[in-house]
Amino acid sequence: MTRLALDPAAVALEMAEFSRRMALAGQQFAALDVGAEQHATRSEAFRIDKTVLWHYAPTAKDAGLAPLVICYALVNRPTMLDLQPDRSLIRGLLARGLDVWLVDWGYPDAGDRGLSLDDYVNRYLGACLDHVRAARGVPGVNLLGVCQGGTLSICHAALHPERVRNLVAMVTPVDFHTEDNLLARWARKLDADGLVDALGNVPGAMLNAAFLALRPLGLTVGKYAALAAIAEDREALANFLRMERWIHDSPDQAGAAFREFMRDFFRENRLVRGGLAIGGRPVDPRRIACPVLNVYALRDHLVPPSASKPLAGLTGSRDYGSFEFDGGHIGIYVSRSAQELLPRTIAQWLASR
Amino acid sequence: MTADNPFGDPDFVRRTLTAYTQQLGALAAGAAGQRLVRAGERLASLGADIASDAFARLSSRLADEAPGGAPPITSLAALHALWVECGDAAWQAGAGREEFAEAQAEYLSALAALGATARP
Repeated sequence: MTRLALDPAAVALEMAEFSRRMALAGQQFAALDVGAEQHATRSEAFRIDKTVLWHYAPTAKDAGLAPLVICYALVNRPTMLDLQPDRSLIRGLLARGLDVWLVDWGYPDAGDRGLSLDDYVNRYLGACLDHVRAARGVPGVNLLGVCQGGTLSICHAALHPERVRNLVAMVTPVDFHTEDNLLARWARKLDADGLVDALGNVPGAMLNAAFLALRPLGLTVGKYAALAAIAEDREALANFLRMERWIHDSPDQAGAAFREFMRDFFRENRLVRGGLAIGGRPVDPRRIACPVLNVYALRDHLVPPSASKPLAGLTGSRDYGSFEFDGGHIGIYVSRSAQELLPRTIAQWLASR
Repeated sequence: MTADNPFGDPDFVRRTLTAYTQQLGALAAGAAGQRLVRAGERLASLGADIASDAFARLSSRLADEAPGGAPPITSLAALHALWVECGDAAWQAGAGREEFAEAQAEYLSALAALGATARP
């Protein structure tokens, strides 16, 4: 007995309709222009090498909070935080009167192969935070680290606790050795030294392939077949194209930093097990005494909650909170439900401290 | 079942993928190329096992074995969705094994090493 109950005539009609809709989607794509970035109004406030600190123009009455500096991951681009006007964590934060700044690492090239975690965590991030502190005349900022940027932010807060007033970690890997972390399982076996020796920088396309390979059918054929369902919705197609552009807009990874990150975090899990040092200085998360908010996504296939939750017992903070988002690693930025929920949660948490 | 659908036959998938990597090997001279061929063959073999598992999962889901009976599948869209689900589930199981992680890592290292030999 089989569950298959396909009627040949109905299947033929379904195929014809599917083909019609996919052809329509193709025609719509050709007429869409999503080339221009949709980000909120911002200006370059500071630059050090290829790292740019953006400052966003306020859109609401100042909430009177310390400036919020967002530290994104080295992989992929921060475009995802402000994809389009109606899908934007940054606009949501601005609408609540926050003073928003963004650290943009840029695109490392062959000349950057020697950049290390010390450069990113201490030199670049430190210079950006110092710029904001000086510009606003405050001793410490609110630091929001996203994904790998959260890991870097934790390290920075541990090394320079005086610069961070409150720390928010969003979909951030902390424990790299949890059972359900497929990406980490693969990464542990990778000969990162050999890759860097051979390639210099690690191509973003290689990392992209690894991310897609975590769910190879759902993230490829499944996703593209689903285009038929939105073929007549120009806004949904435009959103799809912007997402595709973000997915494939992957900066290469500076070789030295990649080598260190693979060794210290993926392979030896030093943030949790101890023994982590950056720039010759030990990174002890217990030195983080400021309030900490840990935001993670329950259906995150890239950074499973099991990898984020251990932040709870890691720092020296007596004011630790967590927020579980019912969605995935990307949905936490761009899903409709996130648009109101996430900025409100973060803004309220900051305002209450 | 495998006679009707060659993708359910692990040997068919293994042969096809192996032939592809052997073609790569014919193009690439030297030890780096041979290393890539060996790594590709190992990865292809594990990939064939995953493909076979995916097909077995799909076959099982298509068989009406659930108590009370699962709902019938009346559209290609539903069949496609089930195939994606079974394929990704098989992938999670197979690609999560240490053996696969090692094979994949060796393939990437071999690929990088071959790339390095091709550069002036």
